[in-house]
Amino acid sequence: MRSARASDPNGVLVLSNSHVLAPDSGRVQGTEVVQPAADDEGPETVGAVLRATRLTRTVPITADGAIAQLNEGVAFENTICTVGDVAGTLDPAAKMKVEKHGRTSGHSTGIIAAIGITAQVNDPEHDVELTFLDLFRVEQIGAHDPPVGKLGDSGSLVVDAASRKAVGLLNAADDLGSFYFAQPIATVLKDLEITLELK
Amino acid sequence: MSEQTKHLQGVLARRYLGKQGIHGISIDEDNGTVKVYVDPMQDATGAVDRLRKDAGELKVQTIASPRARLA
Repeated sequence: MRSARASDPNGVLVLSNSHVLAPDSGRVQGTEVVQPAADDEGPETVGAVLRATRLTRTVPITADGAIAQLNEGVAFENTICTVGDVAGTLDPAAKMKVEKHGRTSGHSTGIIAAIGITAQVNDPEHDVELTFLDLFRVEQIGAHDPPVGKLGDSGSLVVDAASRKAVGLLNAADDLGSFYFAQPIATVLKDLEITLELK
Repeated sequence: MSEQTKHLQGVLARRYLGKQGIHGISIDEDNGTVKVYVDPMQDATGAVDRLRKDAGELKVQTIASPRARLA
């Protein structure tokens, strides 16, 4: 990712969700980002948050997104493991077959069952319901398929399997892994004022 | 999505999200259907009946689905 704001530092940015990278309160900018997750083994500091969207109970949310600046010298690959290179962006559409690679469920292929959903999503950390606008829902293709997305997969880029173009950013899932929600990538890019850096 | 559909979806969401286990609403313009996502552990019959009246000529499809959590 690259910033579209002239006042931002020049450099590669990491994209994830606000609920993943940004702290609940206090100053968001400069918050340390670790990889892998703090609950996993051997997390190391790789960067700092540049900005994040606000998640609030009182106003419907359009994007759950955050960007972080990588620290100097941190190695990265501009590709998604098991999914591959991303060819651009595209609006999600019903019946589109999509792929993602998440931290918990790994690689999965699913189908977009519905777009433009207004949905209440539970925030387990604060035990509140957040209302999101314009989510799309990705479901398992077969009932016996492995989980399509699970808790811990947030921040995964969702890619159209045919065109290899990014269509969304995963931010919610059910406990069983039968479906996940993602936000259209165009909304995330617009709200965070960033562009997708292609390989 | 047309402005009229967006408006209707906003109205339905404000009125029915959180009522009797309804946790998601979308309108499919291609087939004129309102999709209503309902917690399978709750009986949303009353709320869905009221929603059906507000939806006018659109069909209403109820989908039993667990709630999503921030992942």
